[in-house]
Amino acid sequence: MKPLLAVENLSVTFVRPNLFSRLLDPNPPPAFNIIDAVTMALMPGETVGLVGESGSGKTTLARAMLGLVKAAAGTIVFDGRPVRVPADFRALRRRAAMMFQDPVASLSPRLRVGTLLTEPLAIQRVPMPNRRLTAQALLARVGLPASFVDRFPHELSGGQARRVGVARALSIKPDLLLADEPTAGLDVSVQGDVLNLIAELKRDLGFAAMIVTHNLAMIRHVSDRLAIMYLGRLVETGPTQDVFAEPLHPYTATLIASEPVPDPRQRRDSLAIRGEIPSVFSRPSGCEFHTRCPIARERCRSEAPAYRRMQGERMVRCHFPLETGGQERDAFARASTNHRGKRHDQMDHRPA
Amino acid sequence: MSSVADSDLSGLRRRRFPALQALLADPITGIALVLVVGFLLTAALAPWLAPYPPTQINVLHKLQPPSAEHWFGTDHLGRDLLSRVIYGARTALMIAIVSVSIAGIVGLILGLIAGYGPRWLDGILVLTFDSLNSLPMIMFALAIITVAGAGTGTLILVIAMTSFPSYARLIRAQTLALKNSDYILAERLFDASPFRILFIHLLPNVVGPLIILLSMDIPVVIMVEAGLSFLGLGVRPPTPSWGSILYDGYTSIRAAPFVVIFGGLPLILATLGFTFLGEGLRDYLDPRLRAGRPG
Amino acid sequence: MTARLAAHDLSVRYATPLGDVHALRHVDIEASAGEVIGIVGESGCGKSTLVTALANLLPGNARVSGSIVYNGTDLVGLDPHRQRMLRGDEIALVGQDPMTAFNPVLTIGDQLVDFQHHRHDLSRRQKEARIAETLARVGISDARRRMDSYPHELSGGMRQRVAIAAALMTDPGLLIADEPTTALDVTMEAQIIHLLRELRREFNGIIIVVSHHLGVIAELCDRVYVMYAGEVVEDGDVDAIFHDARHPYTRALLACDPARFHDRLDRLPTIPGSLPSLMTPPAGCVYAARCERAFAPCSNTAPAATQLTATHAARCHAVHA
Repeated sequence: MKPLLAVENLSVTFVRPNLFSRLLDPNPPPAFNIIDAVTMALMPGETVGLVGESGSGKTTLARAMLGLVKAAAGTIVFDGRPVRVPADFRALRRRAAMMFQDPVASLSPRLRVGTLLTEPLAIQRVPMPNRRLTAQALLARVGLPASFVDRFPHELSGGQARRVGVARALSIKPDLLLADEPTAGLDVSVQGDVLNLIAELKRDLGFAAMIVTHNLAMIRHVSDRLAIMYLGRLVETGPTQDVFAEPLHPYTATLIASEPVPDPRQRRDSLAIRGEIPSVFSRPSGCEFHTRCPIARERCRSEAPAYRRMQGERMVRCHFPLETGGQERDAFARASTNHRGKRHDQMDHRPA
Repeated sequence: MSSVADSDLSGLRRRRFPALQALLADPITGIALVLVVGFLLTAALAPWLAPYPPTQINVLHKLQPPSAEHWFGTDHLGRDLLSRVIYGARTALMIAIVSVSIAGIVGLILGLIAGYGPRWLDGILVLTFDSLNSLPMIMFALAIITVAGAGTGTLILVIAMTSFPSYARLIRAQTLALKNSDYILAERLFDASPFRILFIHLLPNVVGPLIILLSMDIPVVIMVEAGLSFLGLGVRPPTPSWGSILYDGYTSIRAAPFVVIFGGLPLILATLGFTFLGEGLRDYLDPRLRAGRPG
Repeated sequence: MTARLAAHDLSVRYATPLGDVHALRHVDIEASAGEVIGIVGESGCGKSTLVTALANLLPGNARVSGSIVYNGTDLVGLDPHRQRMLRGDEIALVGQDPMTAFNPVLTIGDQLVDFQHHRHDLSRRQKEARIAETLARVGISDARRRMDSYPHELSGGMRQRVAIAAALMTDPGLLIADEPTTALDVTMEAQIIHLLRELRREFNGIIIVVSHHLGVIAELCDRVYVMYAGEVVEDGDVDAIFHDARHPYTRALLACDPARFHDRLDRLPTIPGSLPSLMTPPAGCVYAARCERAFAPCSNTAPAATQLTATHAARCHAVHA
């Protein structure tokens, strides 16, 4: 199958904004890659989870894919056609929709819900005999009462604003939905609601979705494939169930192990990860994860690992991936345990 | 383009709940509105309200204290002060409202363009704003008057030219703060035209502080007009204006303090009226403030 | 003296132009030194109001009834001066966003020195030594260097550590952590949870952890109060709440957490319906409108607490001891 959206070696660079200091400095500082040579593809109809901590560049990647952030290098191919000039991006955006992190802030505050819902259609000159009725139909689609057309964004709860965001994104019948933290700030009882709604509309409309999130517990249930990002690079990709069952990259493993378990009988006595995500402005040498990696060795400090294919569809950027029964997985378990001298039982207690 | 945008919205717009009622929810705004409307009516109905012609000189009755005949007394030329204050409202309000409106509209449009447009255009516009701001107003006024001649039109031009840069800077700052907000990004994603983004999405969100600033500047402009008129650069005597009444009053403040009092009172009331009306308008324009705090 | 906190029949309503909001109704909470108490619930359940009431920081339009007895002193109706004394000395609060807890133009060290202003017996040098010691306690190794940093120079996780250090500076008897990990990434969250667990070993006061995150509560707490629409609907030992929940709301809330399921679910569980209005709280059970097990008495009689074991109680008509 042909991918719907494919990016190859996509990089986004942070350049010192100050022209003056650049002119004065004979040796300008190297440009920092916020996104560094990301290659990934999104198949029609599939859901990919893009996972990473804040500062990993996941939101920037999503925005760069739609041309909202300028890419410094790399290619983007949408539906078989390369996307290069602004006009290409406009054409791409007409078939793509994005949901932003803050559902209320992404709605223009002075307009009523009805106007907001039908605005994308008005912009694309889709004929609408009656805007009010169109808006009400969209509201019904996402399970909100018709009377909401007259509300202002600030009069909506987080979950309701989320639904309006979904309705708005889907009003143009997109082929691609990019959702940035779609459940941020929502209660667990409401978060399921929004995700179920997206899943249901996805079944009906058949669009592909990329969900950008740091919420592993949620993404596990709603994505087909996972892409894990660290410091602007993909460190692991693969089918969601496989990645959760057997993470290959130590970072993925520590992310999964860090998630608190809602069961007091499975408390963790040890800490899977220490330290903080470094800044892209001081990217560690060699493998960028070696500063926090429990199984880092000498080679990791000096030599950057390649992003290579493992079994099946899985890709990993690590010299010593945690293969099943392999010595690295054992070493990882030992390394995690030795922190506190207690058994680190996290990995075993979380069946696939 | 604007017609497209307007007709788009018209199908949806519910009958707004009576704007006046919402505006008057706050009693202070109500009082301010009464004051402002009162001044506007006074200005409009001056010929019917004024008991004497404002320029009728009667030197024998100069500087008379308030009496049944002359409610506000008379000035140094024996003109009826009440009549001059009433006619003065006309001059003052006309000049203030026209020049502030022109400055406001020019400042709004240039500020939006500077804030949202490309960087080089922003640079040029900001340089323009700052250059105009740095001109001393009196010198600038003298220069313009030498070229265009004194009079009401020139006065309005001078006031508008010197006050729009600060409005433009305010709007530019607000636009810069909002241009990367999520909802503007969302609009760009839906391929909204720059025109739509500027005038449907940015304008309503940046205009609030401008309206307050404008209504608070109206009394300032009345003062400026008075000052310039006093220097012979503005309204020509004997046309009455509050400024000239005040300045005339200062020369005889010991002998007849009532001239300054009755000349200054309408200025104070107009200041309060326009200021509080501005605040009321801001609350009304911002739906977040209108609805009251969320529980 | 060992710290002891007991809130009894605590109700808080906010007077607003549109009417009173009954944010908290008839809440009973008990805690003694050495315990970690969890308060869990979704937005609008009243957990923030409860915390602000305990910390004596309610806004002016709040009307409080009932009692909050801390070490024999009723905090309700205490005069402002003594409230401030208590807040500075005995009750410390760690908020959700550590950025707003600090003044952006002063260094961390200056602010932590300032937090000890009531310790007139200590010189600045001694105060700085205490700070270095406390920062080391919360896992900040290069304490001296950090003291010269400004808040924005620290990462979110580091700021939260400093905020916890600041709370510990006064040696409080009651430490309230309000959503301490909500603003943090999962790896930082794990580290802060770990830190709070380590701290409780040496800390001999009461720790109250407020969170909407069931995982955080399960990891940290000894006893848990589950709140819904301004009321405590169930309370008990952490194990009883997570493994033998009896109130239908607690059960539904637990069932919604996707972290409980490892196999992919096609449909995530949810709780249909919405919160009742806090302006006119229902006469019967607050959860009746959304409850699967609701029957006749639920809609008109508020359920009393049913004591299931010595430490486990639920407010539900359908629950029997």
